[in-house]
Amino acid sequence: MVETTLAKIKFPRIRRFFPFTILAILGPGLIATAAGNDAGGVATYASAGAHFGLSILWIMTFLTVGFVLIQEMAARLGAATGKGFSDLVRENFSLRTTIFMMSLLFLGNIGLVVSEFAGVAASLELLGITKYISVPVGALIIWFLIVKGNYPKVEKIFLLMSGFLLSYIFAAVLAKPDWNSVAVNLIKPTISPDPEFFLFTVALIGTTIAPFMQVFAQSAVVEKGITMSDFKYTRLDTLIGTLFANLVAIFIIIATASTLFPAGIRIETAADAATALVPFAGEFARILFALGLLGASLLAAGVVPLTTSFALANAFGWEAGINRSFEEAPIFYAMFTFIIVLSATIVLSPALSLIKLLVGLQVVNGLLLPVQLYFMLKLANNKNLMGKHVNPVWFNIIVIATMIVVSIAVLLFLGTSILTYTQSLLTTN
Amino acid sequence: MEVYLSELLGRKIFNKSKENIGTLEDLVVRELDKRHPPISGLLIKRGRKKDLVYIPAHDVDEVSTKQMRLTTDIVDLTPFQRRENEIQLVNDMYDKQIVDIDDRRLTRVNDLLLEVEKPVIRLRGVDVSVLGLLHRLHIPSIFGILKHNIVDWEDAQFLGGQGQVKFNVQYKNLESLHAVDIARIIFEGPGYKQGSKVLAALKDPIAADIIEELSPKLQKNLIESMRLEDVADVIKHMPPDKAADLFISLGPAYAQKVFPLLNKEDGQKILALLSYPEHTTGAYMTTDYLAVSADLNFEEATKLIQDSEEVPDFAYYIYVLENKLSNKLVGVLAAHEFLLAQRRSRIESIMKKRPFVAYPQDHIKKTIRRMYRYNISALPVVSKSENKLLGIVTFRDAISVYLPRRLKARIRQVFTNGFSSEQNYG
Repeated sequence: MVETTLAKIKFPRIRRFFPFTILAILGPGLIATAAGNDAGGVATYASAGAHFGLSILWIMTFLTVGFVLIQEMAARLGAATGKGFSDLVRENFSLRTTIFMMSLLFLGNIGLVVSEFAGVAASLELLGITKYISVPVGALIIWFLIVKGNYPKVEKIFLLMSGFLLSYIFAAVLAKPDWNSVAVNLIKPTISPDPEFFLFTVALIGTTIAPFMQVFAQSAVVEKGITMSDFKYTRLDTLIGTLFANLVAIFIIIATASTLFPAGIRIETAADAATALVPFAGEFARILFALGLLGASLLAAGVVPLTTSFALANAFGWEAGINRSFEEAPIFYAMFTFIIVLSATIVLSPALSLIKLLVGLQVVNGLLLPVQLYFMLKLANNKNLMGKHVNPVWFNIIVIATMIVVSIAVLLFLGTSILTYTQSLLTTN
Repeated sequence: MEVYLSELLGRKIFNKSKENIGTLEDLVVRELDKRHPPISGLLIKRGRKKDLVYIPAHDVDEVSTKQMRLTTDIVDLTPFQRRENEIQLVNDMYDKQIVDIDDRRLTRVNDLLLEVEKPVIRLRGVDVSVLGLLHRLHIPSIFGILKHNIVDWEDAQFLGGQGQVKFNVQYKNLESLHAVDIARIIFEGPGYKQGSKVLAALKDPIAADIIEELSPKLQKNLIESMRLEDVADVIKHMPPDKAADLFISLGPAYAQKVFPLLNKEDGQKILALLSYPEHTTGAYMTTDYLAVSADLNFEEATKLIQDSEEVPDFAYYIYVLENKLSNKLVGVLAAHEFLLAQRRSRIESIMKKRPFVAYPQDHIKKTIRRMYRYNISALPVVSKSENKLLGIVTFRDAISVYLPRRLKARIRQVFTNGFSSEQNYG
């Protein structure tokens, strides 16, 4: 009898709810990766394409494999433990290690926020607004949006704006690249003798697999209450998000590699990066690029300081959250205010090429990545924490291989930079 | 004398004949639910071997930052094996989350404050300050601007670890908080997994209250991981309207599994509520209300209410039925009117006749307007034809129609407030 009555009941609320659950699940991955193709990302991909042409594409193929697995691991850590990355570090490693890791994260993310404000400055300079106006105003707006709790609403506008960067896909197609050569370069490793090769490799690593994104993806999974029982949707979301982000990245490289590289133009300013869009947008190239870059920068300029302050507050047991008042969570408020103010100030210091700054800051994240990966691997292989959801062997092999290759690239970069530095010292003497 | 655990760790321990027998590695506590739990023993690391040795607290003569001495020369050198319900302060408690009951928030154990009062050492409180962190790292504080922030153990709730070792944590302190706060604390901070563990250990009606407060998604995850009998038990403790909401988030397939385990009366009530279409007053109704029959006097009515098993969540109005058998609504009494009544007066004579009512088919917004206009915090819902009392709809439940769905469950997830769309609680 119960069955028949139940069958008659329409459960109205759940039916309407259903499409939204899918949308809700397909969220964190997309935002995390959209924030990944931020100012630093666009600058690095565009510069790399202009500097090395298509020959740099194979690095992106390699990074895509690593990126997919690492993001999946971060999401799985969140779903299996129900805890954020910083909580896990604090509870499973020594206090000193925690402070070390958190300091690195803090510094790396400050670098990221600096690059976002550099993106704000660069994009608005294209529209004729000096950075001495755009950056303080941008910082102030971001700060107010966060404190007033309006950020989530505006976030969508930023996300839409950053969608303008998708025009690189069309620009790449319209530039009529040699698709055979694209295909070959995607799989054929080429190591260029160019002294800047390792700098760009590390920058590409740092911006593609930005350590911030793993922390964010894990927190998002925890916050949504996703557990291993419904992890398959999250896995799908992660896969789609990461592949999409890297696809866009690859098209940015193809676009600049087929327009700027043959002409021998190196990207020095945002205007150079915008010229790659000319085949698609013509005279609107600048505006399109400026709006896209501005959206991407503002999106990440809000998300990164928040996530960072959050991670740190959780690790040290401080009250955190925008729904807490300033009196309740003073350290949290102080932290993200500090990050925003400091980053904006660094960008305002004169005599800095914004694009070079953007690329350089990605290097910082590239240096941080192997350290964070080490901790993530340790956690994801901890049976006490993960139960049966520990990394499979093949998974460990690929991620450890990625970590080793990344570390080697970092070491080679450090080696070559020290070498060139000493050489320059010797020659000046 | 008060001393921080971090100041004692790693110090050399001497026996009665002043021989160094090792260094202090950890402290063991057995009765964590005591107000200030006594330390039951010391764990000592001997020499290069990593083996830990247990020394019962009664063998300890002096414990201070100056000296650590035992009263005996005889030390049992068998390696320490942890028994059930033994908690190691460093291993299990350092860096873990605890609830600060006074401030209703989660925080972390940076250091522990001990009180040495010969012959016992007690756990006094938890240092949650930055200074506590610096202490642990033996970094001197700068200019003394930082202060210790100690949460007394009385006002702290340990949430248990994630490890494989079992110990029963008593959640007495946590249980003193409001269900909304408990739900927020245990699912926001320690995460879903540990949260469910804590929930499972809480007393029955509290667990049901907490589950009511969770978001539909968490509810679903949680319920699906529980045994059917336990689910039925939880639902038994819920008012029918909350149970109906829960079934909606669980979906019909699961509902069919649980229904046979409920008692018939509860099941019927829930089914009846489920059958009202969305946005009708019936869908927002609860069957949890106070009702007495008109032929009683004040004294009898009071007794009846006192004898009832559970007083409903909302008990501001007492509804008056024609008589015991019929469910026909004839009047209503607000609590303040009831309290002022004479002992002998008949309910019939003090009640307000022809009360404002709502019909289950009415649109909920119409009902809200009615409540607002007449300044009533709950309306009885009666059948149109026979005027039978079906349930009541409270203003609080009714206005949830204006809330976005995701806000209907009151648990706030921290991050949500930072980023995604689920913001704006005002």
